[in-house]
Amino acid sequence: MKFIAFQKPYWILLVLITSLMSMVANAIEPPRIVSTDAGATEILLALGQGANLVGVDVTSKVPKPFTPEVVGYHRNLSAEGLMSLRPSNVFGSEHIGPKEAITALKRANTSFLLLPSAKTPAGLIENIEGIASALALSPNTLVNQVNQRSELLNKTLTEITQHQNQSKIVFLLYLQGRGMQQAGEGTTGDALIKLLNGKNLAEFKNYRAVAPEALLSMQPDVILVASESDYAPNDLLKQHPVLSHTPAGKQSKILYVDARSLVSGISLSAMDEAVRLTGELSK
Amino acid sequence: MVVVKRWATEVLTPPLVIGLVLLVALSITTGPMDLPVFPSLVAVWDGVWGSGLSSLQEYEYAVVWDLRLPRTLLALMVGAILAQCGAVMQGMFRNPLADPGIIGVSSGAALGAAIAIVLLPVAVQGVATPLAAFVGGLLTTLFVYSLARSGSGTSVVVLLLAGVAITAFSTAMIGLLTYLASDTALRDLSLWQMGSFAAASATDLILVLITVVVIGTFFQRKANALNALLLGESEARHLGIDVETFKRQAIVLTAVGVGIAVSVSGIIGFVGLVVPHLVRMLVGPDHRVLLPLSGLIGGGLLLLADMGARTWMAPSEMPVGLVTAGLGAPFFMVLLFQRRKSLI
Repeated sequence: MKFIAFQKPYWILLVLITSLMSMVANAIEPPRIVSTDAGATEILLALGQGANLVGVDVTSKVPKPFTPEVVGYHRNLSAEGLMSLRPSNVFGSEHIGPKEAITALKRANTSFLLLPSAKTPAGLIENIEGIASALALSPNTLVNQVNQRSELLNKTLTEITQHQNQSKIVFLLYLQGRGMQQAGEGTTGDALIKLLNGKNLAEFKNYRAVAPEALLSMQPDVILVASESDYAPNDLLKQHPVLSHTPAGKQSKILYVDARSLVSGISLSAMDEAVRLTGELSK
Repeated sequence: MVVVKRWATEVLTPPLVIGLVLLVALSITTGPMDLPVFPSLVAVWDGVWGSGLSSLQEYEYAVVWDLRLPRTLLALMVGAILAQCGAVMQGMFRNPLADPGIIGVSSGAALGAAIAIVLLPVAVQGVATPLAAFVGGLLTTLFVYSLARSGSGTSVVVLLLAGVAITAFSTAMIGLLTYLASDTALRDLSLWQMGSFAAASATDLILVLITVVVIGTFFQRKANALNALLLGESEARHLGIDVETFKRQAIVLTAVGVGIAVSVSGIIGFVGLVVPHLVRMLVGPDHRVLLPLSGLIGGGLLLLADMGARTWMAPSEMPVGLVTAGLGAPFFMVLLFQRRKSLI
């Protein structure tokens, strides 16, 4: 009896089929993703890539059941630590480092996508499109979602500005019992104020400590208090009752902002937070 | 009187050297990445002789040669520099509290680095930070030294007190800079102050190698002068030692050595203080033996600390300065507790 498989044409066919199958398997092997930026992690999760995340930085929040390794602080990555995760794609902010770690990973054929921290919804959309195209995914659903929120935001804001002038806004980083820092130009706080169509009363760059008296003299219409606990506005008023004499205090426009949503610029969660805030502002 | 057991150098040196070689091999074969042990070691051989014996893939080879080997060598040499400078400072000041930072070099370097990190643009920081750290360390030391010098020689007391004062001043200035710093600069600054060998480059290695050779040879030649100084400054002078010149040379060399060490790796505390004490407990205060053994043990301990730093929290990395102080301080306390009677 002859074995069919050992006849030459069948043999070649068999080899062809198996090699073809392994090629297909390689092509659909899921990516191993490391994200070193909270904003990028959010986008990846929204794109349904949670299960493919093998590592995230300390600022990224990843819900259960996904359990990526924590790779530390994004400016102090461990080259070998990252390589041990065998990542196929690394997404991070442009501040990622040290450069030795990046060089080593590039040698191990990891593809990098470094994204600027988004300051506007348009910037956020660019980042979404960048990440989606690096993973050969469609960004459309997510981009539409951002656009919808952007429209919703603008609609509410237009309604608000119909019966009042542009709001003068102060953004404070509230450090429980250790004073407060005011957000100046170039900060995410500033970006949030712009997103809310307000005027930032700070006339400096970065964050600076600010005294309650100075806040009073600025006469802000709205005070945004960034903290991890929503009691922050109450705490702030209790600590500095003088703030209740500001326009913001009189109209109860001293509002809580979830600081965690602003870790990496205008992210998806920052958009949600902005939508929530416009709701509060229109009251 | 309690008799402290001391070891003869001939007995102690061979196991220490063997231990160090094993430690280096261990350091090259451990890390967050699982590389086969034997091929990793063969890869080192391959790199030196240009042979192709190792079965490692190219990127694994890069892990051994670009990541593990440079930081292993850097940790060894920086440890040796810090420990030897510590031994010299303790000998020269006849003060067990002295460490290389006592003449203001560490705090000056920290201030220099802080200025570069906070005030200079990010693009130039790669070069500017180590340079500013080195210059800062050197300038502060020279300032402290010139304060302490008078017509009748250099006052050790003034040197120590000026060192303390300049450290306090630098800390205040760094405080001011952190107050002005942006979030990123703040984080960079605090990381820098905790030390790391992750960014070891070829230039760093060459620089540190030259330093370790120069410092090692010079201090070894002056071991007898250091021994004489243990008797007291005037006694040393009567023994024919040019105390002033020696002090100046030792201070400048320590400033340069520690300045270079700090500029390549950030601030790594406790090695310079603890290691010489440890060695003194083992072999006694003779600087001819104390200095080389301090270098050996300082290098070994810092390498061990760095191995901990890169594996304990993998895939992220701990700053090595935290490991040296976090483990070094309790260990030192236990040692002091055991030896407290003989130290009175």
